Amino acid sequence: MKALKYIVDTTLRDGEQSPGLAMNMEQKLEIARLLDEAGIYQIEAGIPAMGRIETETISRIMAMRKKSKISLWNRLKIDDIKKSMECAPDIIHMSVPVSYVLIYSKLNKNKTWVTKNLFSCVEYALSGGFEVTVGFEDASRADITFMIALAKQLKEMGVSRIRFADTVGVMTPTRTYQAIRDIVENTGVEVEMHAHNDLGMAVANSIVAAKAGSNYIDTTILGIGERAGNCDFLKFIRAASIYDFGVTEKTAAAVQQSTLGILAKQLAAFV
Amino acid sequence: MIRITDTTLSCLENFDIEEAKLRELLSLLLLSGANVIEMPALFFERLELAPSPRYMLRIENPEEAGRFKGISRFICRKNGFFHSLPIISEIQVNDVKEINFLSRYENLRNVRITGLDDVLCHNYESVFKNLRKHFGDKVEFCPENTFSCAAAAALEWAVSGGTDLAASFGGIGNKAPLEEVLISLRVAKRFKPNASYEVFPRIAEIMEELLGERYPGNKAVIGAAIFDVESGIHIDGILKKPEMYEPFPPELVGRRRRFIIGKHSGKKAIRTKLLEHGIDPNNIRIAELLEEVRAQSVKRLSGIPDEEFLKLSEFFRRRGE
Repeated sequence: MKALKYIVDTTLRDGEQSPGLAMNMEQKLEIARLLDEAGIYQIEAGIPAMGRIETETISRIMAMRKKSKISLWNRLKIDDIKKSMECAPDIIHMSVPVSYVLIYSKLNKNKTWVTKNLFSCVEYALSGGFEVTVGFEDASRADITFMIALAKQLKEMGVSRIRFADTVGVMTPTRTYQAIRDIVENTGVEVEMHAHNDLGMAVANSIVAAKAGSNYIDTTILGIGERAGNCDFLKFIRAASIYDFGVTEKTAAAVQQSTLGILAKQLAAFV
Repeated sequence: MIRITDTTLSCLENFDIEEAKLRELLSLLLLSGANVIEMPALFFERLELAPSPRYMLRIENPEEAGRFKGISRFICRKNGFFHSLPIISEIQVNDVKEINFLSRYENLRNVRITGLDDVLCHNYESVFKNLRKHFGDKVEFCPENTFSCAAAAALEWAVSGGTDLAASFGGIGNKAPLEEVLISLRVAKRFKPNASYEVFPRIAEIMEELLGERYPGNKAVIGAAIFDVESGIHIDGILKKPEMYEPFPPELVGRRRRFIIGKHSGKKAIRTKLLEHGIDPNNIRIAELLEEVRAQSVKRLSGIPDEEFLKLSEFFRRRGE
């Protein structure tokens, strides 16, 4: 029997972050319904900190979904997380920059500050009774020992899963395998792979991550997302037939086809 | 040493191409970072090219090779066992299960293995080792792209010690996209041939014309929109240090970064865009403008063109200043 693994669809969050692309509420609801009906394990539905329209969309997705788990994306800010909690999702996801270039040049902070801030945000969301997952932003350029130390502590706190985000899309298969293997073997934490396609390797890296022990793979319909986009849902399902992701290639193709209809105007540049 | 063969022209054999276009394409491919340009023997004759060690001719039958004096490399699908050394035999291996059948070619040297679309799903390192054991270190690998993994397979081939590989621009003919192979080799192996990747957009333009369709805006390395940025968090980072959110500089591949104003813009992006157009952001009520930008963007289902954005910003100019 094939090993069971899970798709985390982020079309509505990272996918919508494609520059120049915006979706309205009806479109987002239709796409969420498609994904739910297709049996996708988890839908990353949006960023509550974006404002009222976003939270209203999320609430309506929550109200109509049947099976998929709904997760929301957050920066490390208590205010943002509060807004997420008000939407009552299944999973609260928060993203922590882990590479030195992001910690020191972008945030102008240090590892101690980041760690402390992360832990208090995690505690806050956990105390509300939510499942919490943490995204390691720019993990591909981060120090593996720092990530392992963080992952260990997060697991002890009760975080259910770590997302390995190849934020700038510079991973290659063998490097991906080693990094995921190192985290899984040293911490036992569940790992979710989030690949970008800048080198054209998002599908390959995601397959190799699964081989290395990652049980959750992030995808977007048609691979939409920042720059060269994310791991393409249909292409991934087609290629990763050595695993059971709970979705057939036929279903994935139907989801893509319907999305092309829903986003006909926006996707003209993608097909 | 890594030697890359570009097979773009061979994939265009049945296209109706004007001579000048073909000549331009060849000259650009010679600059693109590929070491060897494979082309149908027909093209070589048609352009009346002088022999060069950088050309490889695709021929139908091994005997044809004799007609082309001065050319040292040929490729042929009919892999008779008796031809002389400069002819590379191309062997199609659809998936890793077929590797076992290769033992019947054991004594063949000068081989190109084409296919292995699914190699990344398996133990690719051992497959690659096996190929080199069968055919010697000089075996050329031309991965195919049925499972969107060809560029990754080509890269890992080189990382694992393979020296020769074949690709095609934009991945035409279901091959590994040449541009992805070159840039990933640069990122992962610091492979920096004497080449100018700035020719990619012009090659892409010619290819689009020939194929009669555009590459997707987000196609890795050559998509026209891959250096567009909109989300506040990314623009903020890029302004501080571009490498934070760019895998490689846009200029490397002949592109420029563009800031798009839209639903995911933040205050920083709004201020930057105003400054770009010589407007002092301190004279504008930024928060209100941002809210309007987001609403308009959702209504339009796209970003806001600069002209529209400037008109919009006038409504939010501070009074009495």
